[in-house]
Amino acid sequence: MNPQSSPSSETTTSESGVYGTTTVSDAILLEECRLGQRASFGKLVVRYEKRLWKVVYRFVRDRELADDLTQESFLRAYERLDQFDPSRRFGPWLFRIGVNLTLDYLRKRKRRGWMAMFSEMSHEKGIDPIDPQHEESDDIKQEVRIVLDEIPEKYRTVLILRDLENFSTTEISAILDRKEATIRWRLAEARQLFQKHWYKRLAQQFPQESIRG
Amino acid sequence: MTCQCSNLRHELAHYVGQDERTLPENLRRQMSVCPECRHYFKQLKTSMTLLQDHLGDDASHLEASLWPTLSKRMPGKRRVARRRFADRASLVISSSAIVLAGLALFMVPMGELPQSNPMISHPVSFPSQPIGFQPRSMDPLSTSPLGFFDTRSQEDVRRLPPKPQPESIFGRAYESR
Repeated sequence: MNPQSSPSSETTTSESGVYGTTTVSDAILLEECRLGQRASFGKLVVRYEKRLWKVVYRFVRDRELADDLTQESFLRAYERLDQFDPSRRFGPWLFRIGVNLTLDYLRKRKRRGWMAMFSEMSHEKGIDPIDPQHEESDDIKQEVRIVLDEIPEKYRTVLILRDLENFSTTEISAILDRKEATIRWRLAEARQLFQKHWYKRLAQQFPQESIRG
Repeated sequence: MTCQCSNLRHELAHYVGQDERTLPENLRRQMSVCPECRHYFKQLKTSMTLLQDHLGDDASHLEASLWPTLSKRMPGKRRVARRRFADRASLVISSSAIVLAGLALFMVPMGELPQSNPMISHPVSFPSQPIGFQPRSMDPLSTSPLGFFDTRSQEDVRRLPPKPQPESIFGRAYESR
């Protein structure tokens, strides 16, 4: 059965929450998965893939890579279903796997990047070179990305999940397995860091404009 | 920038997306008296708007479901059986470890008793027979406190001073009665 062609009525998610109000249905599907029904896992994949892919893409900014990492996240979740606590929600657990996998990948790539720096690698690898023919908005977008990349990972992750992906602090705390207070503190710190780096960069590029504020 | 400003700016960062009128009282008061903090809040809002405007809709969308590809990559059977085996193995290992630990705890004091007991400083051994030793009957009902291990002759026992009788807990009156 192809779950994409015939989505069950359970797959409709409400707009109230990020994961929707499908916790019960998730539990049923997970129980079926445990009994060996792959089609039930297919339903879960269809339910969460778009959201997870988007989050992964935010970090890697590469479609193919996002595809691979999302698939890998689902595979890991499937393999580790026995470790999942059924009393908890599936969404945060799946997103935790996805985010951790993505961050691990980025860390490895960064390490490889450091090693490859000795073989003539640009320090801004991973970011597309600025094309002078791009429109102004694209230039700003590029600048925003560069500034975002300057923020330390633990703050950047919270900033992306909260301000770009609109997860609540409760959901982020569940995804990152940290206390809510820690997430709130990191979010405030991340926003301040982004502001600081942005205006610093602006001052470097347009000294006169930054003076005017 | 004062220390208070620094703390309040951190707090201000929580309320970036909100209207200034909905800010907590302490922050509103700070904003009204500190132009630097007001400017800082404005900059925070601008930078966050920039981030959301330029990267908010940046993420592309997944065009086709990953499930068809994923289903091919998925293992035919989940590793449930292997996990169960692992669980059983860990159960056997842990229970046998507990049994061994219990046995070790039981064996160690048994082996160390002769050395550790100060009352018996030498290993127990039968004394050699003295000159003129007359074997006495091995009466298990003998009154000797040492019982089987009492090697004294009846004559030696008779020569011993009489043992003081322990005082009864009920006193001498009860004893005399």
